[in-house]
Amino acid sequence: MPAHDPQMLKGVLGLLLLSMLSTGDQYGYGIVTQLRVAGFDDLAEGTVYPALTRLEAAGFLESYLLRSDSGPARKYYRLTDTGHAELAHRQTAWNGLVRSVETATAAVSAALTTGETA
Amino acid sequence: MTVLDRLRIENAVLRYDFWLEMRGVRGSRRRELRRELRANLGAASADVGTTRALFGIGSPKGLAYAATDTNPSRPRWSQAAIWASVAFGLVAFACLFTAIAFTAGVEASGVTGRAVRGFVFPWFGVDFSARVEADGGGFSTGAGGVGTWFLGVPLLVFLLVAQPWRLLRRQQPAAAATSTARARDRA
Repeated sequence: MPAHDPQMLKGVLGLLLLSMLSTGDQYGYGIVTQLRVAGFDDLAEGTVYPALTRLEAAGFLESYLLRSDSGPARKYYRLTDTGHAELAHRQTAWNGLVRSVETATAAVSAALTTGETA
Repeated sequence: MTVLDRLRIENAVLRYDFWLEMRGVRGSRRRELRRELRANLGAASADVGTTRALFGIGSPKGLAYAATDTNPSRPRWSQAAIWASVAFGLVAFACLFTAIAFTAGVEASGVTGRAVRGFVFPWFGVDFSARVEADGGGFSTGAGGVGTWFLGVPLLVFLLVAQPWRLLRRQQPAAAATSTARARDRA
């Protein structure tokens, strides 16, 4: 899979994390592995952990400690009500952006195709 | 996980903690963030190995800076302690250098067998003294009243860097509201 544009990824990281957590509680490295399975191989832990901390500070996430068999207790995150609302808001914004980009690029593609045939 | 791996993880966690402290993060919050990073590194290390786990988080300084805002209501005690220590070292070095220079001056003037006292700019309140024995019999030097400089300069530096008056900003609703709004914007 081709590498993602870091700037684009930065813009949607919050949406990705909120989406991942909307499917169930998860801890930092668990989210990283989920994102990698989803195709974000180039997403570093050093990007995800601070983003989770910021989302928690903003009130979109809450956390609790859960004992782990293989090491120290892990900090699990879950969405708050505000987080659910924020996820819906970001999802709507993302869908709108995708539609607009598709419209714009479709027009450009059509123009290019017309130019090539002429 | 080997002992070496644990040490490498602990080293990264401690460096992370140091930079969190430099960012003015409170002790309890630092403990929480430390514990989280340690658990995440442990899980990543078991999954992909310690080297790759540590590579994944990048620089602990960058991680600490990305995860936190500076806390404007917490005095910068640690930074102040570091700079006060530097100031103490500089004052000690400068005092020693001045005393040696003063002694060299007395020796060059040819006065021997008695103590010579004097003021050296800018050491206000400090009484430098030197005694040079005749025929290379040795010398002694001293600086009286230098304690004010040794304590005063580092203390002044400590206060200026720490800014204890930041405590006055604590518990102000307007500041708290601004901080929350900023956190929401950053997220």
